[in-house]
Amino acid sequence: MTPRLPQTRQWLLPAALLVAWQLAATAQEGPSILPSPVEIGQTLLETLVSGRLPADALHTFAAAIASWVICLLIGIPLGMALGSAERLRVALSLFIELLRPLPAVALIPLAILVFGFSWQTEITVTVFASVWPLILASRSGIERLHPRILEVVSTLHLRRWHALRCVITPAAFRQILVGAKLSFSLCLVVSVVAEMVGNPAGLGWGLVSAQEAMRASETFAYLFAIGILGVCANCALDFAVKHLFPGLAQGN
Amino acid sequence: MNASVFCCEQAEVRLTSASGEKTILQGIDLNIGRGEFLCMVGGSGTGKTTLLRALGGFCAPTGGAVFYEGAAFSGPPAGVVTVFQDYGNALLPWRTVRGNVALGIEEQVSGAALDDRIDAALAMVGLQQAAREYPAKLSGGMQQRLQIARALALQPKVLLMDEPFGALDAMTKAKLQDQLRHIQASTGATIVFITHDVDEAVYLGDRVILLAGSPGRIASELRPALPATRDQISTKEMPEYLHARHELLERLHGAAR
Amino acid sequence: MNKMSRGLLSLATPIALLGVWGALGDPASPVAPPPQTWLTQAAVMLAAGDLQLAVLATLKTVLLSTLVAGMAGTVMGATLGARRAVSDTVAPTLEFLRSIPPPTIVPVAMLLIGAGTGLDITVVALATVWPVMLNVLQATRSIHPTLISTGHTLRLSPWSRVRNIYVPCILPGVIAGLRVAAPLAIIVALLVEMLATRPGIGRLLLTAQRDFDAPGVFALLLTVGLIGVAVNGAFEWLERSAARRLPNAMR
Repeated sequence: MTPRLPQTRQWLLPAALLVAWQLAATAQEGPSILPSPVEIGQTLLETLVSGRLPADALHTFAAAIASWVICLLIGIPLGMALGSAERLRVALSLFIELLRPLPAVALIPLAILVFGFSWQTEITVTVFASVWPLILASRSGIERLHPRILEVVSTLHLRRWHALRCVITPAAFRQILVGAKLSFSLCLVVSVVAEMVGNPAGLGWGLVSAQEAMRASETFAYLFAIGILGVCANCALDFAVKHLFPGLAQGN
Repeated sequence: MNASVFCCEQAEVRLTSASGEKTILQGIDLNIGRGEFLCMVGGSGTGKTTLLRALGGFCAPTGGAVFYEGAAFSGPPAGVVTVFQDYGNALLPWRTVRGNVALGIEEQVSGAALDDRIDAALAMVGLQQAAREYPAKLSGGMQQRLQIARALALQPKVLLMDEPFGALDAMTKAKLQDQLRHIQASTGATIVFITHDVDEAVYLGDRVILLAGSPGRIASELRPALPATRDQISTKEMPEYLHARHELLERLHGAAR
Repeated sequence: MNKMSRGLLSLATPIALLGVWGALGDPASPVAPPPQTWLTQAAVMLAAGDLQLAVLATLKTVLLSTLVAGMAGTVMGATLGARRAVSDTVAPTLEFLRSIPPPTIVPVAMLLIGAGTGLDITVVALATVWPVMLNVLQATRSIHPTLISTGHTLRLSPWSRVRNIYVPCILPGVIAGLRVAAPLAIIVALLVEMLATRPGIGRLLLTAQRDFDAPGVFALLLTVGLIGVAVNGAFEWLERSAARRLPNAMR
């Protein structure tokens, strides 16, 4: 989708929107509910400098990463097991279909009952909501294995663990990676949502407390920070993958 | 008489698919001797691949029996390695040539001994120069040689090859044919080789069997009386070669009618 | 394994789990009450009238906002997608806006719109308009230019062109967008109810949690699950009937 239009035209639109927003905000009479972009920028800078925003961002990021690691540790083996064992897959299929659609938001009160308003709540809810793409992708990775790969494993008389480590997992890796990336994005979003309701810490909590205190520009600033964190974290992950696994390009 | 490596007694293979049951092979009586180079020819759908898969332990006979070294087996028997036609799907793209060759032996052998085995296998197929390359960078012929090297690294007693040179051009084919005969002479391995190419079958084999019919049966058998050392030019002009080729083609077309 | 035994095997797991839980669970447990207690508590809530009201409130929000999001998203998507120059210009901005997680819009919207009945539907619609808009935009962009030319060549009236060319081409995009928007609407609706204490299942859930009513929380979770199944089922049916009427358009 690379446009042949000059880049400038694409940047013109957001710039124009920001200008329009600024004008609309300053033209308000009486108490302003809509903060101007300039005000938001100022607040953003203040919270950055005071250290509050970075601390909150770090908390959210750490929670997301921790949840993601747990998702990897649970989701990949489980998914691969589902892909290899037909009986297991059938036995768990309905169970998974019932649990998977449960929205993370609805699970937060239950988690609060169990863990209170704490990081355990945040991580549990995040893991529960984000593990599914990994399970499904890992399962798919195994199911889509070319039958030849499995025949090579048996004709070379490879031992089970060796085959799993050196042949099967790398062959399924591309698919697993897709699931891992999806899971990562989810971990970030659900962590923020969990913080909004279930754990008074991080960017989600900052967002909600700013809103409850009617600090409009701070609310917007936090929203912006959340968006940026998401974009940066996902880009960082893409970058890391490209450099850690250059061999992925050798694949096809 | 060579000791028998594989022995099929009235082997039958029936496969179930979405459209029902189909008998692919029936009444297969076959004895393969140690160190023999056996070629299998036949039209499409006559069960050549199925027979090879039965020997390779990928499908069990639904009737009769198949024995390896006198014993029944399930799953690939020890010492038997299959080389597949679709080398692209059979090689590991994330490993180098050396890495691919090491795959079958790295659990049992390590260090200098491993390197020696890899070097020996690569030397047998002439891929030493490309040792550090990834399969994607190799030509079709080189990739197939890599698969063969990987199989040879295991020092197998039997090599089962399903149209290994089918996707290659004539010159590469010729080169690999000679290389294969040389490998067989030096390792003494038993080779079962499927091919559509009658010339290839007569040139390579000590014995050629023809599968025909549906369900497939062994329709005939030939032992072209060719010398042990062969070459692409003079052997193919020998009267024994031409006679065997003629016979085989006639039977092949006769069976097809 | 034939179809019957597959079905039985997959049913066995949840039934076995619920059975063991029901048999061994402690009814007084603060975190894992057995399934029977959920049903008892659900009955209590039904008797008090709370559960039905909450379900209706949430469903109303979800369905109305999905409708609004559907309409707005279709119009916006079709407008933006109609001309390549426009859609290309708009693309990066949309990409950035799309990366803002819909639930996080809720506090901002609450600030700007203020509490009131309009809040729920507006916020949820705002959050869920993106999938529809992006899908419709994509679908509009991919209408083959030949089809558009055909419309002109045959001198079809604008209404006829919309009905016979645009609608069938765009409809799959609309439905695909709605399929994503509907579950998202449930999530955002619950969140709005929790944050802005609006009537609905979200608020009931928080109340149950504050009262340490574990069976109630589970009963409500079950309810949410059922709503999800119902809503998804409805949109799946919609997708299937559209596919039946427009077999070639649906990929």
